[in-house]
Amino acid sequence: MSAASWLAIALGTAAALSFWLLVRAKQEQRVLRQRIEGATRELQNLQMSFSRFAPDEVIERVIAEGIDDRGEKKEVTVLFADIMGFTALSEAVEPTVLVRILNGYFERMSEAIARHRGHVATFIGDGLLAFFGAHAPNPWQANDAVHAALEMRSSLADYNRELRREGLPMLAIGIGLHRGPGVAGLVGSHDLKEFAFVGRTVNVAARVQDLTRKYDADVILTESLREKLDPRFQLETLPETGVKGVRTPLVIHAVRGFAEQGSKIQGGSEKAR
Amino acid sequence: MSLVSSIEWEACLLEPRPDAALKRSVERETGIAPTSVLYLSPVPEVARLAGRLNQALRSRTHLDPGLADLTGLVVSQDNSCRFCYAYQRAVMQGMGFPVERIEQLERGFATADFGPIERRALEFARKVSRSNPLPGSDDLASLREVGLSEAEILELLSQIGLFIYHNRLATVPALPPTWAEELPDKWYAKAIRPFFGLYARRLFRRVPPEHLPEQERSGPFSQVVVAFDGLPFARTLREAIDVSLRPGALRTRSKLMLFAVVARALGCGQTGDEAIRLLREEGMEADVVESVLAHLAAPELDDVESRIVPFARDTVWYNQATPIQQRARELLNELKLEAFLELVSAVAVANMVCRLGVAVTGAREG
Repeated sequence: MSAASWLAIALGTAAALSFWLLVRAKQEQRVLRQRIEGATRELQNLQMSFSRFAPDEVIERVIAEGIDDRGEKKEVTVLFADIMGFTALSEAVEPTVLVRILNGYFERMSEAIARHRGHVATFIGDGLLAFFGAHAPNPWQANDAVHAALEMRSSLADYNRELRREGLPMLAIGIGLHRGPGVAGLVGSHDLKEFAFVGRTVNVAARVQDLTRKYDADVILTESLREKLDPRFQLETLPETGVKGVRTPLVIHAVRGFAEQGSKIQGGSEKAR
Repeated sequence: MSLVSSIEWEACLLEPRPDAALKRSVERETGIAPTSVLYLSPVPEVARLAGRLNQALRSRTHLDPGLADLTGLVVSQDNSCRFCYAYQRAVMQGMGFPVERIEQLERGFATADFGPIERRALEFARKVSRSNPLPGSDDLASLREVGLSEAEILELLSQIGLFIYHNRLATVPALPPTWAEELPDKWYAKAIRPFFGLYARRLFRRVPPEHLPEQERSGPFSQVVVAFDGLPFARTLREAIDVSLRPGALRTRSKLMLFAVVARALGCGQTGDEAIRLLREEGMEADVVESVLAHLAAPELDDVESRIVPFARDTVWYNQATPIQQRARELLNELKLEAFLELVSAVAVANMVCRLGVAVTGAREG
């Protein structure tokens, strides 16, 4: 073979090799791009999931700068809910059934809270702590919180009908509501942090929730919340009551329902206990 | 396809109602009749306003066109508006904006490769759009720091405001985004892209500075309007406010309540105070106004007002648990179509005016 033929073969081989390398590189690039897009999508989904637990601004700050110790003073409405007689219930049913009952309960209560622009901060055993106005400014947080409590009441009534049909024990809850100042920020240990609202307001809401047993009322709120409340909420003032951690007795009210203009009271108490 | 295109989006709440005369008139006046005109045509004044505010988006005096376009993309992404995002993305691609840069932005704002001016400007756009927390003088100072002039900052704000308006105008009635989402991947769209670029560049124009005539320097919310004096946007904003408050299927006081509620939700003091003053001038008693703002209700409200006042609040920050389009559909079943269209337009303008009001006056409540 002549030198020209050898040269042509060599050039052809080189061209084929280059073409093959180019195709490979393109394929690899495509795979890499797909992986990046997949990872980005996961990250974005994760970010969207996180937005249920902390304000967007806090999430973005964590992504950009890492976790910090910044706190912010806020006026927030706190809702604390607890299942009555949960210990007895937990001893009466199988563990798997108990978990199913609890999950169904938390699901329904969380939906009611979210529909009224609140967010569940944490589940504590059978208890639930939710905030209104902690993530975004909310001048209507008092009304939202009490509407959420009334929806929790009616959702629980529906859930109890389901439980009764299945021959399972029904649930009764007590809800305490209070509005006041506190500090919002990322709180916890190095390994475990959560966006929390801390201060006396949370403690008072928990104490008020305790009072639901004493007064046999499923939703009780404090005077500081009533002051901001739509007058269409039907309230019954209860005796002033002293609670631990608060110097003066609390003025508290049981919530009976909400009267729409020209209609009957909505969300009236349906006793399950 | 971006993550935005995976956002839940209802079937369009409105029927397209072609009105050839109206379309021609909007085209003649503004260069193009945007898709929204097809759906808003039962209230021609609202449709014409949408056309003019669309033209305002395409008219730039000082701002870098690329930055203006990116601002639209970022604000629409932030407001989860599939319709505006898809159209903005398609137009940018059509005009030759590098798709890699758009994809970078879609992969994440924090990691996208922006220059310092772009990054600060787009961060500011997100802050104004979110208004949680409200933008303040520090944010404006950070824009000056990177070299943006006062005129550029004002024009940037006007672009942000315009997208805030268009996002709500499209999101509330769920205008259909699918066509624009799929268009860039179609072979024929790719084939005609160079010609489209030429056509689109004629629609996006440099316009000279323009001062507000004396008679347009007063009127409702004039403190926001006058802040934009020097930009053609100021006159468009004046017109948008006037059209939004003009009585039609909804009364002026009903529309003012929408402005007052949006301002209260955002904590926008000056705009909120003015809305209250105007409501008092309309004859509403102070205690009724206070009840409306405290509880989004009052016995003195009529049936329509009782429904639209709480809805105005839902347009400020959408509640994921009760999607805005579901709420809008319920409302559409209860209102006349004309009233619904006026409502959508008025809340869109109210969100634009109140957010811009905070940014230009730095007024904050509390």
